[in-house]
Amino acid sequence: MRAYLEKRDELTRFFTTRLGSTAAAEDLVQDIFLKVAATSPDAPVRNPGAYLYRLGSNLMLDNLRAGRRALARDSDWRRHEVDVVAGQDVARLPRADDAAAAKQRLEQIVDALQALPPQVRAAFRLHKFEGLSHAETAAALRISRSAVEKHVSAALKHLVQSLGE
Amino acid sequence: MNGERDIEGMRAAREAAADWFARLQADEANEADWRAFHQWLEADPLHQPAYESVEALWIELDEQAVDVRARLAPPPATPLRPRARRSRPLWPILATAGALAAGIAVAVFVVPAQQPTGAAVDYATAKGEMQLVALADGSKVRLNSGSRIQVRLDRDARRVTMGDAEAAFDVAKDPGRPFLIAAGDRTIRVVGTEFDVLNHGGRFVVTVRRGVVEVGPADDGAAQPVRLAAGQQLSRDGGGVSVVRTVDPDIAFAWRERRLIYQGQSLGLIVEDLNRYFATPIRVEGSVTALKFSGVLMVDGEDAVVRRLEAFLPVSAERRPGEIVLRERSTAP
Repeated sequence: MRAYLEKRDELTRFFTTRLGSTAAAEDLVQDIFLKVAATSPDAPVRNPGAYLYRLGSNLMLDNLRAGRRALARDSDWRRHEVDVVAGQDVARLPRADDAAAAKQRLEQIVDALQALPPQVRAAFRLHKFEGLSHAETAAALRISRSAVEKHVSAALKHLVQSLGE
Repeated sequence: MNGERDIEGMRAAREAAADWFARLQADEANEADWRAFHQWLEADPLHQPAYESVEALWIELDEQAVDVRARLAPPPATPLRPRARRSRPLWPILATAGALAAGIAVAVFVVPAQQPTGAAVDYATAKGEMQLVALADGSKVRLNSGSRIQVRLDRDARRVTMGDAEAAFDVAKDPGRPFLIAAGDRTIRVVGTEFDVLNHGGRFVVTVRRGVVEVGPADDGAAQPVRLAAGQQLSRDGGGVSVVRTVDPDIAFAWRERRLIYQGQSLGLIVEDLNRYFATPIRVEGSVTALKFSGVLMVDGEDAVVRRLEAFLPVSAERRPGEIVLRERSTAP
């Protein structure tokens, strides 16, 4: 119980820094423990302390996503763009507020990814777009885990410098 | 100049932020790493915004994942589908097997590890029954009520054939052995991810919670599959038009907790869903089919659900032998 409370305080301090608000951090930490309680105990967690931090950080990312999605949703229903994919009619509802701007942005992203060294791009693609963990990416490419971490970091540096505002 | 130094400072902060982001995602990241990261965040007012820009980029890449992925590595045309047309001719046989199996709840099935080429195994649930199937490769399939699937774990691929079914898949990653799901004339290809598939009464819906899923025709080698990223849903009605949209995946997964969540769906569609759960079919008569409902329906007993529909919507139920009829509630005294 004391371990739990100490952990709780530490997490609350961390997420107060991240969110800039103690109240928001307390809510998030509450969500973390709810999530832990709801998770089936059959999957052993190797690093429980780090797991709580990671869970909270992922919840923050989920909230960010949900916010962007809510913004995009209004425009979804106004525009209804139909294009043909896979020889079938696919009506694709654009997620960004402007389909043309989204297309342009996609070009920028693809260009930035193509500019990466092949090995860096391969590691980043498997991790980010195929959903493999660092360890799985390392196994797939037959490189070390620390090399995967370096590649992911190098890709992020390049992308955030060339795509960040 | 001051401005130049700011730009240089931001650049350095973003580089450090990218290092932190990658470090914290590594499988071996520990508590000490997170504490050091906390210190770094507070060490300089530029650090927090720099880290936020890395996070914003990460999310933006998710949103564009389907298109980016398609552009980065054009998929080979051949290995995406199981050998064509296998799924459909199988079904008359499976329907019988499914009916036989319907009364028997098979909880867990394990293929011996030494036997990589497994035989086809059928799983079925009766109305009102759900079942969790743990496959030998570590994947889990949760079958909803009134569903039938067939599973085969081969050396080169893991194959599932879906009949009239809804199932939530949590697929163990195995890049060398794709997970292929055939449903009617569609094939779904997976690397390692969590998603829900509904194949029932002309409706085909795929909702992705995690990872990336490809949906393509089962038997047309020329056509390219559609790729779905987390938070996206492809739905296809009887007319054969597929729509891809961004959704909250938890809604599609809610049936696992015996809840059905609707946002303005028609009573006709809701009843179609309910009839997958209950033995006595519900029929909707007249214009009330088009009534829209938003909210959460607990799927416990059929009587209770029907009473809730009567409470939420201007309909009344008539219980006849062998069916329940919903029609407009008469306003006459």
